[in-house]
Amino acid sequence: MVESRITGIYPRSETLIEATRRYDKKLPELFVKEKRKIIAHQAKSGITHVSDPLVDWDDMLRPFTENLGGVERGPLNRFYENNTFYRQPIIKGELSRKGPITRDRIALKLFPKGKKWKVDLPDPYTFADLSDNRFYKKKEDIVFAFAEVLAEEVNWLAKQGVTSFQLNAPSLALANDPNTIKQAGEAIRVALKKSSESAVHFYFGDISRNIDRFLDYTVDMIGIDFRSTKLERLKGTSFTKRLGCGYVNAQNTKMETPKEIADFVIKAKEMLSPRSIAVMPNLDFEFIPQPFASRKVSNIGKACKILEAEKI
Amino acid sequence: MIDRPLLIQEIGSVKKPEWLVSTLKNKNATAEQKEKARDDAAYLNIRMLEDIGLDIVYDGEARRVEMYEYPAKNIHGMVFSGRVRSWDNRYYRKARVIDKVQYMKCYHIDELKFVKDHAKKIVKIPITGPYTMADWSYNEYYGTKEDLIMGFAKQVIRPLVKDLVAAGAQIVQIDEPAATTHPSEMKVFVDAFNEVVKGINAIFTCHICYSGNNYASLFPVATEMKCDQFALEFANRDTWELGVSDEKRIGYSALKMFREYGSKAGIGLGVSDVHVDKVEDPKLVRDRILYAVKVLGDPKLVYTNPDCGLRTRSREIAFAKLQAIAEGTVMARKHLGIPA
Repeated sequence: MVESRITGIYPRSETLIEATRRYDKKLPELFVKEKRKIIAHQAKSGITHVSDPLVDWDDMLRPFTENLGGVERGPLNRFYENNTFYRQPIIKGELSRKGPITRDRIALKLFPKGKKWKVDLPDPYTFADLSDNRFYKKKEDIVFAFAEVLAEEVNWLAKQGVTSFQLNAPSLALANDPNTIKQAGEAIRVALKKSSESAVHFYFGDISRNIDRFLDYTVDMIGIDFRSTKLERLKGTSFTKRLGCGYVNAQNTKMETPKEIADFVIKAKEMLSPRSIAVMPNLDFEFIPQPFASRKVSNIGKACKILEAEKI
Repeated sequence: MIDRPLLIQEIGSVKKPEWLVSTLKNKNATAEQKEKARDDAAYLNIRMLEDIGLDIVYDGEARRVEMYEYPAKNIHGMVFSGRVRSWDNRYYRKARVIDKVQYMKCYHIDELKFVKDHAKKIVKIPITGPYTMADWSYNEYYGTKEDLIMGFAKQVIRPLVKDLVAAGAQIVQIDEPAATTHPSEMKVFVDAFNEVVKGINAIFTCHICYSGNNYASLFPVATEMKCDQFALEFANRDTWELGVSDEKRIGYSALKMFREYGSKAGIGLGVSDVHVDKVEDPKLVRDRILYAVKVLGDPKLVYTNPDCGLRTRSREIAFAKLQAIAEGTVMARKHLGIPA
């Protein structure tokens, strides 16, 4: 079976958007209902690693911004090069975890049996990079403090039955300093030490210059946003890990056909010879309306069937 | 620019009154009743803004749904795909470009005529610029994003501006909140802006907000723009403490770049954070203005305004914030010995 996964925050339906805008009293129930529907769609489409669509996360850091000791909610900041904004965490004290941060934000009860459960979390360097540090002496101090927090969270989630963890690392995709990248990798090792299956997904940046450094990370899979990193620029890379093949464009409504997706995966496999491949979008689908995202999820599933038929 | 220092202006939108929204949603309301309600809201906004003490006004964008959706509805080649999140529970309708974009009609002409007929102060019309229209759309038609941006500039926004100026617009604010989103695209942003305004006899200002890199990507290209004033968001990133030191006014550090690059353009100084209900103390507004004058060296270069449109705040909060801006500006004028 060809592996497939969805990444990060999924778009809300029009019904849920309306409910959030009027602060509907039944919002918690509506979030659960929406998550159930989206997870069912993932399963029906044949996605192998089912994940919570995070429709109740206002941005990728928010549960941590609001629940970590030492952190306050800051101003709206642009989220990379998008017309999307996040609340900047302001770090005013030592990072501390008061309890399971994602307890009410990951719907573990909705995960279907017979599928792998995947949880998406922000990578330590990205959290530090997107924060306003008013406490620690150096950025790397935040990176490692957050890695320790994540390690506790991963440990708790693993005990609840989560088998696969994906750290989303847009800031790291944009990093250039070799020492920074090396330290970030060490922090990821700390964060994921209790994870049985681990991945880091790099998006919003061209990682071709640093791909060898990322391949040194102690994770099972490297996910790549192939809209930012051209496949041809990775030619000659000895791809010693599993490849998260982020070809499906989560930032444009233009629809890729299943065959187009499958053809790209075959090309990537021939060029990089990874240990195995997971088909995925290049990043979070929250940048397109839900009906388009849902069609793209279906097409990922159909592409996997084509690949299976061709014994890829 | 206008040869008077520290003029007070707004950026664009204020929240629609409940009665206007109810009338527009009422299926039994006639087209005439809806138009009358829009006129009433526009008139009320103009009066409110002028009574507060603003020197440059518009109608609070009372007739527009939203800065992107309204023009997109009136441009050939665009179809709506659904809503996409801007932040938290705030969404905007995003369109797909599925054909060559084309100007169909002057979609701001009626509101401009109404404002000109009813405003006693200087009128400034805000319009959404070509770069933002392109950046906020899904490109399913043009070969490159650059082609799409220049398509908007040449085929839509320039004809629109020509028609508005022919109808009497003297100050046109080109809203480009997306401008600094992609630093690598600054050249095409500037090319598109200059393409829109070239040879047209009017004052052109450009509103940009929530830059991811504190406006660093505006330079050096901003000096090549045929732009008379940059109206920018600053208060969102500033402290709430009084004072005119660099430390207290950390949110205004980007002003130094304008000075260092020798920019002659005016600055529309965002002195009120539009994303919080807390209303600024007029003394804080005063200090923000005095800091800007200190950095730029000339009060004639400074205009005062909120960071952005105020539509996300209640009308009470929005007008209280504008009142604070007006009072703070008067205090700054007094401090600098500028006649009211």
